[in-house]
Amino acid sequence: MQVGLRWSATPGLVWTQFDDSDDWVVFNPFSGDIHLLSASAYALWQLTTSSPPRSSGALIEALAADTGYTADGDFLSSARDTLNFMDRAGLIAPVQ
Amino acid sequence: MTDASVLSRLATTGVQVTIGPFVVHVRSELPLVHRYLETLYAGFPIRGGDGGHFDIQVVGSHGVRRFIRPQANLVVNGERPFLPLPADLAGALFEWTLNYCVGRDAHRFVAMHAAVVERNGRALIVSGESGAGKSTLCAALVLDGWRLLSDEFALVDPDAGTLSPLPRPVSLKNVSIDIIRQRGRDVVYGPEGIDIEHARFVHMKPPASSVQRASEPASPGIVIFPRWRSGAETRFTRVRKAQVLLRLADQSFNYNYLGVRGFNAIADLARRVEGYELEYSDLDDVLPRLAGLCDAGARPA
Repeated sequence: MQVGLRWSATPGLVWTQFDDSDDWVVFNPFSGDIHLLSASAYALWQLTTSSPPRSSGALIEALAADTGYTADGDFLSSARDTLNFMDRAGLIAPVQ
Repeated sequence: MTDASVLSRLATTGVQVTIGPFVVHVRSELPLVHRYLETLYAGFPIRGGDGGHFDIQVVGSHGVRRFIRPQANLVVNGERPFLPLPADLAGALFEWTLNYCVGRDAHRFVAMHAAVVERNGRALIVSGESGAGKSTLCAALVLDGWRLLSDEFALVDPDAGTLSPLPRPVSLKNVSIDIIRQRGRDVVYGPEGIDIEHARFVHMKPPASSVQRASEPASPGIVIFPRWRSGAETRFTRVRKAQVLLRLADQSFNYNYLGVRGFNAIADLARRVEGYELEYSDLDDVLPRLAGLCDAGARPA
């Protein structure tokens, strides 16, 4: 993932959740794929829906603040992996 | 209902076989196909006529191939999607071709690879890869009195959320053949053969009562992901609904073709059912437990 890019949520995704877990399931109608995301990953995706778009660093900082996690090495690495995954899956897109 | 005069049209103008929500137009001059339909489709609505949702023609080979290793060619909706296969598979070819047609073109439904049976108004969906024991479990449940909706397809109506029956002969392979033959001695079976993957196969005629109720949908109740393991004790493990959704979508032929409508149909189904992984080895132990599971959910709160 290129440093400095800002990220925006892909519009038109279909999200659903069930009463027996905190996980979220998303359908991407553009790829036809379904993905399972943790509650934290969904919270990170939600941050990409706000305007103006934020950089990876700003998104991860905001997630740490919202969830109360310490932004240590594991947290940073996991959040970056999640952003990379959401980029590959077409759930977010870079904006200029 | 089927009679000899109707099936005699098989070699000329063909016949229309109504199988659940589909009308299948079949033509073949091969006696094996005639015998197959006469044996395993007795009791299905069959009439002379042209047209239908799917057009399947099983054609014999010509020239020297008529005498040396004869072959059967399949013409499906005017196209030949498969290479010729040995003519002694001709009856079974009809079933396999119908699987191809439904998996490819039944977009009125969300079609998933699964067996479906019903008891007391609740459908049990048995989903699994080949070799997981899906068809064995399905056949044993049917012999135990459950209604057969299908041993190959769960057809979900995306508007109603119900499962549409597609009762057809149940496909059995290898050791399942002997297990089910022992349990269903009075059942009619088609000819046993060896398929192109060198597996023994046979088709079991569906119960007349299931065929008669082919237009009666069922409500989804339970989804089972079975795994047969030699010597295993029967064990049910609850599967979370998100995983039910992902695993059913993975077995769907067309949810992504139907887009958001297809996704929502499977998500709604996952919301309504109880999902379990089932490990088992003993049918006599697992059948009453499945009946109990189904009846418990069917009772009013």
